[in-house]
Amino acid sequence: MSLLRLLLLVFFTLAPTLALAYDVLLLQSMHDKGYDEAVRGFKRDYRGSVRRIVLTDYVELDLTRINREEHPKLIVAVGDRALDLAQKQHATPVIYMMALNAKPHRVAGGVTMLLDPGKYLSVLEALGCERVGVLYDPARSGAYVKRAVTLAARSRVKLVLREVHAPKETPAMLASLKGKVDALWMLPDTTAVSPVSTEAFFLFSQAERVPVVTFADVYLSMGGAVALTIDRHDIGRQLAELAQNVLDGGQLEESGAPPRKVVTRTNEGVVRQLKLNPLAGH
Amino acid sequence: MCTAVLPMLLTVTLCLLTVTPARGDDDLTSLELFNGAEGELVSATRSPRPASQTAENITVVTGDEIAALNAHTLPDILYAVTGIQLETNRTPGTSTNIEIQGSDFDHVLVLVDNVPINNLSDNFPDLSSIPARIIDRIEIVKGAASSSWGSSLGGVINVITKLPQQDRPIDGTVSASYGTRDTVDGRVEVTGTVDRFGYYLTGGKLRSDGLRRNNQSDLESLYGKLRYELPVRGALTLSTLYTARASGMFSVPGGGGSPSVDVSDRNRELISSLALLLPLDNRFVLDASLRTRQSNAEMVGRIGLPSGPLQQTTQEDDDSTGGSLKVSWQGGWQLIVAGMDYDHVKVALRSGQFPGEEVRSADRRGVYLNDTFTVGNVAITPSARFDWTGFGGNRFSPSFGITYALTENSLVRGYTARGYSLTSLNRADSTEKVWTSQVGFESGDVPYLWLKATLFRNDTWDVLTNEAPVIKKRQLKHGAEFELRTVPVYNTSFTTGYTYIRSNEAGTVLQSVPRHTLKLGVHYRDPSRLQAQLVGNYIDWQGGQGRSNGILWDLHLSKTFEYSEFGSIELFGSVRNIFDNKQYVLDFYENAGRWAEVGVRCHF
Repeated sequence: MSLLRLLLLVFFTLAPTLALAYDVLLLQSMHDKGYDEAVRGFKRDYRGSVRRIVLTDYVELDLTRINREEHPKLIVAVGDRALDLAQKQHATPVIYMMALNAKPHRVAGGVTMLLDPGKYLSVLEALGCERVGVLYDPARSGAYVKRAVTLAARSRVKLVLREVHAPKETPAMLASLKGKVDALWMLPDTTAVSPVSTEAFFLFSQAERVPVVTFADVYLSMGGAVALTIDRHDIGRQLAELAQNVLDGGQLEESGAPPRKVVTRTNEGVVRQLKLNPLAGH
Repeated sequence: MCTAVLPMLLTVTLCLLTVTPARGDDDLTSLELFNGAEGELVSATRSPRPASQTAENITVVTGDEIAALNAHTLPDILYAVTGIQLETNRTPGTSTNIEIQGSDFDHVLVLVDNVPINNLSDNFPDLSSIPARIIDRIEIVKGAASSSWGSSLGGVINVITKLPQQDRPIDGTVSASYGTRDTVDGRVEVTGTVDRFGYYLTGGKLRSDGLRRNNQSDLESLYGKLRYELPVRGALTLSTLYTARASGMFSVPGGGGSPSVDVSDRNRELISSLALLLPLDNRFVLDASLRTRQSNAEMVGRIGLPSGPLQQTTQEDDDSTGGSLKVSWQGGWQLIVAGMDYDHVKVALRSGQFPGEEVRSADRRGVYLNDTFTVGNVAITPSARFDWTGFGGNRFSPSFGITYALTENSLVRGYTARGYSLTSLNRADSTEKVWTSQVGFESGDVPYLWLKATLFRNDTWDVLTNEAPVIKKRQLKHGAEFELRTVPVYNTSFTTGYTYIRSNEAGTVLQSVPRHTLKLGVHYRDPSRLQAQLVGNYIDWQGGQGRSNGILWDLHLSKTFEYSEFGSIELFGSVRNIFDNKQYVLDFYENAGRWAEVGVRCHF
């Protein structure tokens, strides 16, 4: 009998302890360092139970079935594809992060990848730039640009807008800004900024001697002057607060919140070369 | 006809080999935007699908799988599902009987958006009236599911139709195909969402001169779904499907003193539902629906007698109206679902042989309580339902399920349930009963594979015979089911499913219960969106008049050309029963021979 007890004890000790009952289904589009960093931030501040599924780990993932059978109280989508898929689960609330291109519906709230445009405008003001060229695709960034224009009206910055509807239009639209701007504001818009058109921004910057203010560090090494970037870890933490709020019965905001933390980096060489004002306080 | 279609198919195949680049993935473009082109992307596909937590034996057919089959109606999709046997595989749009794990056809409950479509006179679900293009996914429960659904002794097939396209105000598809014996299928679909209001509207026509004698088909269908997203979370959905079908069922040639017999049927059906989904908070969800089904069916038999043809007609009007209310509550460890169903059903029969009209009606009510209790890696699901059937007595249907997660992606499941089936509204005490028990294992932990194995035992009693006088018998059907899928290697993946059924009735092996059912699939899809699917189906019908002389192989090809300016064009073609094999239960339901078709779908 004691042997049986010992065997039972060993069995229950060694048996896997996967908790199938969980509050949050964390749905991640793919394995990526940036996504993982955001998820680490989320898990740091969210203390409830989480099951994480990475979509690219599976050829077929029947989320409808998982959702119905495992009953998560909340789906946290990380990435565009994850958000797209999560939004099809109509009865379960969805919050998202790291999704740039997906169109969140009214049942989904979250933290966007777009910093508050006011942050960019204050940096452009501090650099002493008044006429700022912006290329954007109205279908992707129309709402963001509209907010930026409203905010710019209250500052010394005047936005000179150019619409692009396909990546190949970017060089021509940049050319149309010659002599008309003191700076370029590069938006995270996959139509305006694509692998084929990125170089055109920095060629314009060199030729016209105007700085490029951008959204990712990677563009500083290409010739960007200032980058206002997101902090993925903090976005995860910000989303953890939102998750807890939703689970406590709070209502979702229809539009996503901008990231609360901004990381500012400058390319000192470019700032010096273009004789720009130093960014004290940023 | 076949000689005309095969060269067309060859031409289409050559066109399909043209390669165009695939569309980019949104996640990749945004990662590239923020990280630069040198960003590190790691993607390792290791399992075809994750294990799930349900205790029942459930198979899901997803929208992608449906699209790859070039299916016309619902039976063309179910044909490829492990554990399902189609008694007849003939001209698209003609009537088909379906079995789950060897159950009788009248034991399977079929629902379209939660509206039962089984008729009331003999519980027959007319699957071939459901156009494949309106289907988003199909969920199949194998074995009795009466503790949730009431009358469903053999299993449940739940057809979930497409939702409105959410991203655009208007989206459309026009599709057409042409094949052997002037088999033509044309359809127009329009869908979109404006603000909170979504719509999906479609209409189509399927017709054929018949791949077998007196097996012609003519099916017209209209389907609409309107969906309004409520200002709070939740939605109101109105769905309506109207179908009108005229088809030849079978023909028995005369000769040797026997008269010839041709049997055809006509059917008009309207299915509607109005459903409200309302999450009250994060714990409570309310589901309420109203539903109606109105059907008018006519069966015509023409008997060729030396004195002249004799025609016999049987007509059936079959109406049901009702509704459901369901409340789900989710606690920390527990999910409780409680609900009630009500249906007023009425059937009127008129037969040429027996003049006059026979009318029966009943009020059906059911209440149920399903609980899922999860502790660590164990989930326990006790459920029960009580039905006042109105004419087949009161039925109590308990069930108990348990799952144990071995790992994140492996699961052991067990399920036992008592169920029943109301096989006819016109026969007193026609209720048949079952105890089903299923034990299974599902795993995605073996690299690149997904496996599922199930042992089942279905003990059925009070089974009505077709003999006169009618007597009730006990039947035992037990066996095993295996499924396997692989991840794609060189864009190619494999699926297989095998079902073994051992059946007996009072010590005698049951005739025409399939002993071996084998499903095979080879799927190819490359980045240029060239898709090929080879599907094999073998059923050993075990004696009787049936024949099973080899696997029926179907080949489906398609290629999609993307045009960013206006949409995409998909060319497709299929050759079915490539080797012209025979596989049927009864002589006069002989399956279709080799036939082919080609078509095009334009999405804009």
